[in-house]
Amino acid sequence: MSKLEDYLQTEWPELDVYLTSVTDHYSTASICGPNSKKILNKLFPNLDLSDENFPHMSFKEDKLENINCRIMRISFTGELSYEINIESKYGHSLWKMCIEAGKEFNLTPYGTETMHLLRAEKGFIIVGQDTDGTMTPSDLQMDWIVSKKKYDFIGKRSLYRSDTIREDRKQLVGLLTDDPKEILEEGAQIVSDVKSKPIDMLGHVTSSYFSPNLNKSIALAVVRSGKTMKGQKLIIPMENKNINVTVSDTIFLDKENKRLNA
Amino acid sequence: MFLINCPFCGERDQSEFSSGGEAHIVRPKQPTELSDDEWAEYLFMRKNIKGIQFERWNHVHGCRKWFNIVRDTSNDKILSVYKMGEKPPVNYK
Amino acid sequence: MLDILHPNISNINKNNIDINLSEEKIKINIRGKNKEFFTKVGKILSIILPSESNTSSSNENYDVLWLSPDEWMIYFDENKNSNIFDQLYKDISSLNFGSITDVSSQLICINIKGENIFELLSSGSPFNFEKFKNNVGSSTQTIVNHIDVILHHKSKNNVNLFVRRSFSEHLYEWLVDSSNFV
Repeated sequence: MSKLEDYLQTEWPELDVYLTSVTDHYSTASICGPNSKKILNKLFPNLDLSDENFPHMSFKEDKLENINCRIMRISFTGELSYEINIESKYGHSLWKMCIEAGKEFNLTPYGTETMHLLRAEKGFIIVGQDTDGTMTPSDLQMDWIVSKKKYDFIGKRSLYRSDTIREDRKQLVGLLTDDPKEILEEGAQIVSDVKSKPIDMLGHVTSSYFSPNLNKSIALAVVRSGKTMKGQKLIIPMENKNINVTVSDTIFLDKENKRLNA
Repeated sequence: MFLINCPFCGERDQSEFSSGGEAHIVRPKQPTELSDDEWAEYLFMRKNIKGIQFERWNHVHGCRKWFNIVRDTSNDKILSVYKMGEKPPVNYK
Repeated sequence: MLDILHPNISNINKNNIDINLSEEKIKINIRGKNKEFFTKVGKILSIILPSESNTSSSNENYDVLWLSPDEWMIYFDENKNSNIFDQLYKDISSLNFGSITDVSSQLICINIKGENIFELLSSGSPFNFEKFKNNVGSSTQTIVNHIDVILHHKSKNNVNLFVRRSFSEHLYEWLVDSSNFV
């Protein structure tokens, strides 16, 4: 918000816009999984949850016992998923009601580590972990997110500087270890050849987990010219051994997004 | 540590403020028309003067307003404070 | 009705400092600069928005704090007039005369009173309280123990401190601890 405030006050002060933080005003509960629609229906019986009325990436307003809520259909786990915002003094009540409504569906709380694993299986990035300030949407294979219609937006011109259009930039890829039980170290360097010295560094591992869903190790990494390297063998040199990996797609699970609409 | 005279709240300790770097760098109206060099000039190039410098500051832990100051970077003396959109004082040019 | 959970802030009294959670309070952030905005606010609240920095206006129902040249915060007890937000929103936000935002749960009000409160606040803040403590009605935004706060000198040696909800218990713990050293 401070960056927006900066632009508003110094570059575009003529805009009729005010910025007020409500971050702490709301608490959020996220309900994920194939039964989440049924649980939502118990909490908000008057809300039409059909895919036509309430598709993925849309939001509705409704009331929980007279208290206003904002309900978003959005997913960071890759599952059918809803996020409910409520004024934060009612956050604890909302939580208890979700747990109660979910009992018959074996609802269970999940922590951030679970969330991080689930999103990595889907190839969803964490800004600051899988990216740093130098990466562009194109480096992340997320060109779809950038508008081609707008004449200008903050950062547009920088997307086609000679440096940002280089083809040998570090780009986001998936890595699969040849030994599916071997879990890579986050931050480990990636090379293609350990014989010629000095060893040429191609990139590093940004996220790494053992995926129980896939019963194998998965990782995200940024690798020089990674976009064109799918299927290529690379090496992660560690202190006592070299780990052999293969460059893969960044999406490891449910490429067709079937779970989002379960 | 030094005091800054916020043009809206009055004199406050520096720890209530954050610095926004060199002032009076105008965002180009048509960035798409610019060459790489011209865009880099806007985006990256800053003077970083030892001596009298025109700077942007934000009263981030107060009224959240941005404003400009003229500061002598060699001794941290603040010579002038003026609001966004106002012309810099001529006597320091 | 849904249960309400407030931050875990209990009443503490030591060294002439009395610290209390001061909820239920409605807090409304209001923004605007044009004539219609000031007229509407004045009419609905029967109060003139303070235009001087670091000041406030009060009447029997509302306290209004100056936050910046186009920003104020109104606060009042929840049971006083619960539909005032809707009125302000309808007459100002909806008509684009300004911006009205409910921040009741964004900010937690901690009341601090007693002879030594300014020593306590000074011990963790760069703000110079000399003028502030001699003027009932003064208000300011500053930092206390590195945390952003809004302070309102409600009556002599009686300050309402507003802090973001997620920081409130931590700041409270600091206030309680620091009260031992003034």
